[in-house]
Amino acid sequence: MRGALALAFASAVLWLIPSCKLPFTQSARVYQRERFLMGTLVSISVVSDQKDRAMTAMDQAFSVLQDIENQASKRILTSLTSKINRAAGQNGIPVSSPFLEMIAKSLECSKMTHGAFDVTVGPVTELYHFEDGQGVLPDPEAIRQLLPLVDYRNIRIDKELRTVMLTMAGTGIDLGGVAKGFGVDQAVKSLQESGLPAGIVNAGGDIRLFGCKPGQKPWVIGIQHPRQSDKVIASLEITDKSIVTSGDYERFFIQDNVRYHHILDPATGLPARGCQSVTIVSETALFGDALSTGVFVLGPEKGIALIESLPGVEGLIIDQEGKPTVSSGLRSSLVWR
Amino acid sequence: MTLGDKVLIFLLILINLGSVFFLGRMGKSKQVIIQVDQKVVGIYDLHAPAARRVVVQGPLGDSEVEIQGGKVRMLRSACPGKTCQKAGWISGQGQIICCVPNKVLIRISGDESDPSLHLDGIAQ
Repeated sequence: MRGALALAFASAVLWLIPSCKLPFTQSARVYQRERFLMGTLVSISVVSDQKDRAMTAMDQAFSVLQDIENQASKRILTSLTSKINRAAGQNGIPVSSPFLEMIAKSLECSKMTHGAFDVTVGPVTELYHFEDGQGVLPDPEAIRQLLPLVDYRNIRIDKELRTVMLTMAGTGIDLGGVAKGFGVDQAVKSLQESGLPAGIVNAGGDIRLFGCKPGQKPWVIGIQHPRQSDKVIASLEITDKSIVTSGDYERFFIQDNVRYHHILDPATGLPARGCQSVTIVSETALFGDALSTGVFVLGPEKGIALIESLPGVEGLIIDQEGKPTVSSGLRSSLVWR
Repeated sequence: MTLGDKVLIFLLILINLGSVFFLGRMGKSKQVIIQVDQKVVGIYDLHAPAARRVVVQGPLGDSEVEIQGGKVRMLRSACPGKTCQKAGWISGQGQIICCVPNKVLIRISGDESDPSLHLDGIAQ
């Protein structure tokens, strides 16, 4: 038993130790480009010894992201998301394979978090008008009326016909919580298929990295301090992983000294109150995106228990009082700032 | 030791101290880079002694950036959401404030003197 525990601990620690063995030529350097996409700034950095190759690969990766935005954005009337929402309670909508994959993985995360993460919470979120920037405290009655529509089990996917359907009229999906992460994953896949040895894709703080920097150095990523905008709370060396943070400081308004933020508890339609921020280190950014939201809603105790139960997943939870809880495999890797 | 030797030693000490001070400041120099629609429209010293306000024009109108006491923030923006204004001050290398609607980006770069301060990205 003790041996098994030691092995598990060693595996967890080894999982986070960056391995930088890919040889680079002397002329390899980091190239970076940025674009405004998916409602945020997307930054791509790649390591290459050929500038043209790096630029072409980054252009392709941006195209992949643009394509996912076109399919997933509820603001684009022709997007698959808009079509599915308009057909709620009526019929299924044929979708692309990547879109189907995004929905299927979102549903997995919903099940894993027992509904704490739910892409059907969108209609309630809209009542708060976070997107408009002003922020409005909704009428509790309006929230109460919409809550029955919030249930990820209303989403039906048919993998053979490749369709997605919302079974209840009035239901709507909002993929804002996963589309960035999924886009980051697909962009990394595109860069790797271009044969590049290393890079980072960062979509507004949803980050995935592969390979190492020239000089065989791992990438160093900071974690935003939830209450001091000019500080990072910690940093870690990382590679071949994704790191995503969800925080109550991203979109919020303050009314009567109460902070109302965009991470809603799907069960109540109110902002979740247990945490200031949740950071997830995992294989994919989509999973990190969804799980960081789900853990935020679950709160520190249930959240850290869930993180510890998932293989290959680590996390940092900052609770409502600013107290950090770190998963066992991350403790030795974090450098507090 | 002649008077000339003493003057020479004094000057050498002065130059030495000056170099240490100058190099120290160089190591600490961080820059604020302001971009509009991916084009750099201004580069400023984050630690400049005098406070500075810079107005840049994005597709929606003016954005006003304030640099003061080693920090920078979006003071005013023509965007509807004002998320960039709510982001508050930033001061660390690698930190950014991004106004997506008005396509304005404020970034802090530099300070490569201490590798422990360098960040390749910030999860936020």
